[in-house]
Amino acid sequence: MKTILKLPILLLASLFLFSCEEVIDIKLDQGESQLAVDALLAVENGPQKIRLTLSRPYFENKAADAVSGAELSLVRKPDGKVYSFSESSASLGDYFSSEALEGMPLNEFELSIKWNGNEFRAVSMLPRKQVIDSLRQGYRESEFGNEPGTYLDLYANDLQTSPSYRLPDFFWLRYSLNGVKNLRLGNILVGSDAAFRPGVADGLPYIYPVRNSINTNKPYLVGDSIEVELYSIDAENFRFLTEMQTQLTNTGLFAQPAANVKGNIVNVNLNSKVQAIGNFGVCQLSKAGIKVK
Amino acid sequence: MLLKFERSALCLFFVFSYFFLPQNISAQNQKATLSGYIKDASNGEALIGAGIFVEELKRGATSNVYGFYSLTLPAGKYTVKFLFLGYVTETRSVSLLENNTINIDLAEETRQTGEVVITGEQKEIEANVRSTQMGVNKLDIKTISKIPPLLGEVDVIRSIQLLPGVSTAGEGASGFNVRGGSIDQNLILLDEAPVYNSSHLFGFFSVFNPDAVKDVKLIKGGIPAQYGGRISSLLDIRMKEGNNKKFEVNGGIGLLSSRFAIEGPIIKEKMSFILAGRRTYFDLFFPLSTNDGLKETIAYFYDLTAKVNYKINDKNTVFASGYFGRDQFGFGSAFGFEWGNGTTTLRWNHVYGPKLFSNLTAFYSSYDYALNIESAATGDEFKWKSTIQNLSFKPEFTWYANDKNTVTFGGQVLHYNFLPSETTVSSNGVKGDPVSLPRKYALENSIFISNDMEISKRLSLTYGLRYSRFFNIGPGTMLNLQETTAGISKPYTISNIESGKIIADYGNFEPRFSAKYEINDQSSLKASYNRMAQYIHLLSNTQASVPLDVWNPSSNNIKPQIGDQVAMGYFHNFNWKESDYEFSTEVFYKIMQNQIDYIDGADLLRNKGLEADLLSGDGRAYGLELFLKKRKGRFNGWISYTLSRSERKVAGINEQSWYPTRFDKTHNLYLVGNYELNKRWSFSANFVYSSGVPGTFPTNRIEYQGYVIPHNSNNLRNNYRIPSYHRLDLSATFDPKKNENRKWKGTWTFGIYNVYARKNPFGIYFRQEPPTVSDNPADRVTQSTNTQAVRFSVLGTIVPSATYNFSF
Repeated sequence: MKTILKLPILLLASLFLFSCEEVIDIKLDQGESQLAVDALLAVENGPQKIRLTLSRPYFENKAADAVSGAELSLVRKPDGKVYSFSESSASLGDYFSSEALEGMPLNEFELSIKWNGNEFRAVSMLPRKQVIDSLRQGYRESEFGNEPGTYLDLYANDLQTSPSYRLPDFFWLRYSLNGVKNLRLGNILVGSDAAFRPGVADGLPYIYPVRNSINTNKPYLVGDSIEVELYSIDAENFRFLTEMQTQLTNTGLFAQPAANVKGNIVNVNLNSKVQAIGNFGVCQLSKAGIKVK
Repeated sequence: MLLKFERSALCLFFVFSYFFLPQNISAQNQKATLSGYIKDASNGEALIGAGIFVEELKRGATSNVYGFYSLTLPAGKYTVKFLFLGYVTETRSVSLLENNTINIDLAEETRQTGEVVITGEQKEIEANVRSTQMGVNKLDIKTISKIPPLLGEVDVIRSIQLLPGVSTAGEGASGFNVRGGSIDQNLILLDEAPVYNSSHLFGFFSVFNPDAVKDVKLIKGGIPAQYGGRISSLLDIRMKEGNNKKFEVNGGIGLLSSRFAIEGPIIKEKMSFILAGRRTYFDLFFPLSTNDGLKETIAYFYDLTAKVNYKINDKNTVFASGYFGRDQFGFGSAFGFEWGNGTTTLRWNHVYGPKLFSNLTAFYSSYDYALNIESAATGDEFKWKSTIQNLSFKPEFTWYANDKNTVTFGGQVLHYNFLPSETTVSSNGVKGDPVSLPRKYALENSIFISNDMEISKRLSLTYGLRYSRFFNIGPGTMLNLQETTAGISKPYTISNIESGKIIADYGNFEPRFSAKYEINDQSSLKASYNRMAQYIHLLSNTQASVPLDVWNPSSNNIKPQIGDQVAMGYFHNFNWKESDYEFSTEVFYKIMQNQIDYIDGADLLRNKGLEADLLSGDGRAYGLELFLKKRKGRFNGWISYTLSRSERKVAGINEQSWYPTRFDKTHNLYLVGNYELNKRWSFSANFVYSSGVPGTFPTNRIEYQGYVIPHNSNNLRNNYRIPSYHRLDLSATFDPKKNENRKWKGTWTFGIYNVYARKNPFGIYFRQEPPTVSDNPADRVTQSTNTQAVRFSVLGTIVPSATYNFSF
């Protein structure tokens, strides 16, 4: 919904040249540090990395404290195959698997993290893989207030829901420009079934706003190298990323009330006050690159 | 099932009749009734709330919304005065030996600066002290048009927001909040038809064209039994009927829009009409812009209001009125977004006799929006629409039973047809199947009876009962939810419901009561209680409501909202330094059941499992309101102050303890002043101060895949307050008055909104520093994981305006 509303809001902002945003100083309450999990495991990546840190005061703009000495294990549930993880001595808090992750669509994986007397678990399902068909460059006249120039289109086709795979095809689209992942906040693009929400465009080519999503409002320059990553993710990961998108782009007249982004990591002891934040997900990854001519 | 409903209606009526009928019939013989209509002599408009005062008995009555009055007195000869503030009082000697009809036309006082005084009789019938009703604020269009405008637009809702107990979630936010209630808890009626979205331009302006509005009345507490369906307030907007004596044209040319209204007789004194239109036109300048983006931009709104009335004879008058408004936004043919309301009302006033007045209303009301993204070149299309439609029949009767009792009774049948969403998609030339959420149908029926009862000269009561019954009816779907941990989306299954089968059925008795005790001629104490039931809900989880927000009926999962309110007040009129003042103070306490909240990250649009993402909780609001008004003279205006709290408690949010709602404001202070310097110049000013609304601020941060996510380690909602809001607006009206006898009259209004250009925060948001993109090939993107707080202001600057108003 946010994405759809962006345009009218932009319009309104341009009409009323009166609205303004200003960076301000503000003092925030101190909060307790919690275990934060960053685990997005793509089978295509072979060996996997999971990063564990501690949450820290919001305005503390330095590297996070690593969570060291945790015990991690990952189980492929249908056959009980265990992947073990060990912490890197070079970068504390980074845990690497010794072997490549393998799985079939609909396989469930369970992650266990033992740390500081607590055990946390999270489950994720490996979805089927959506594939980028092609990236194409083209010249565009000015539209929607963008500068004229070279822009890119991403083509991919959604897989139709079938009796053997009834779930929506959720995805997360990321891209990098000249090796830097472009974290332009408005561009966090999570979608489903070729569009933004499940079911609306099942089995269709990715809809125009998705195809157009690997652009900013400035054209690409000759020599730019763009790498696009299409992650096929499960429903929980989709929800987590959608909430993250909402919270990170939350501004203006139609902002939603700020809320914590809920992950899927649960303390085995349900009554424990100690909770972990972040998310664990297994996914499939399709990549494509283009050099602007 | 419907029979059952009717049966309970009849029972209710008889039970009520029993209570006061017998004692009254016996006393009726030696009495006679004086009745009739009170109208404006210049244009034939009915005067709402005009007074009838009987000198000898020191007794009075007021006219209803159609200008009708009825007063039963012992037979005899009387001196009767007909009066209305700002009008010349008419005095008649009436020999009331049998029932008598007197229709009166009152002439407006000729404007002589500062000379207008409030007569003793006017004081006798003044609503502030005399009326049993409390929690009421009335604004006539003259007052509204004096308030300094934003961009030259005289605005009903913006004016309402200067009254005690009324606030807004923020500048530019749609709607208004009354006594701690959310925006969907206000019943906004335009000539009896409900208006579902009162906003133009996302919330900056309201949909009512001031040229067509006659009277605005807001009821915040002690809501009479004839109104129901929303739990917080009633905003009753009455359109003008149209001048039935001569043709008249009114208009205005402003920075944002132009208005034009024509009214006049079709059959002199019998049939008249008004047609009023308004359109913004800044978009007409877009093609001239050098900015390519702006060239193709479409952005405007318009509305049309029309009304015809026909007085068939003294006993019958019929009215037909309609409103149609739309907002249009877009870029060329590629993108379009529009929304709008439409209402049609047919009414028939019938006077059965001097004691029985009836009004039958039938209306149709609709709200819809549509979003359209289209590119023929690439074969892309996305269409999305949603509608709500209403059809209703509403008979109402007022029986002026005797000199002590006035009984109002009636009912309403209200049919709803909701289309939550209908979407069609084509992508890259491939057409998808249309996807719709099934339509929802509902029926809301109600009956009511209410009695205004004068127990003694000092004590009077209004008591009544409303019974409402709501059916959510198939065909449709029903969501069967399974219980889970509070605060997360509930698992569900969907069952299909056949046509005519009941999905949900709710009934509520809604008692209403208010009492007035006059301490002396200048002051009174009042108390009231009301219970209200609300069966439809606007689902919105954004800071300001968006036009895309969808109204939803109560269902097997969504229970009706119930509001109970008690209020007490002290009302006092006084004279100080030869000026008349009106003072009131009220305290209220309101309990609201089944308040809807949302799980974090709830998806409210095009979500078939929507009800699984809703939470239900309790609400409470309480406060103190002070209101002081100087009513007449060269300098007039008011001061309004509200101290209040509005809170929610919902399982799954804020560890289930009370938290302030997102529109909770502790202090609200409004000052409104008008000063007439001379016949040519008059000035107005208003000042607004309100406490900041709450916000949820993070304590911590975490990183996920390079993104910095804010986190509140205590998971508390609305744990901070944004800084307070204050603003001063000024306006000046210049009346050249070249020639008094000239038909063409023109005035200029100059306005300045936000005089000292305060950057009032609408919200404070937290974000990762945005990356910088440069054209330098070696250094195209620089990424940061630093965080910052951002203050967002909607109108963070001074906004001047000029409008030329004319009439002929």
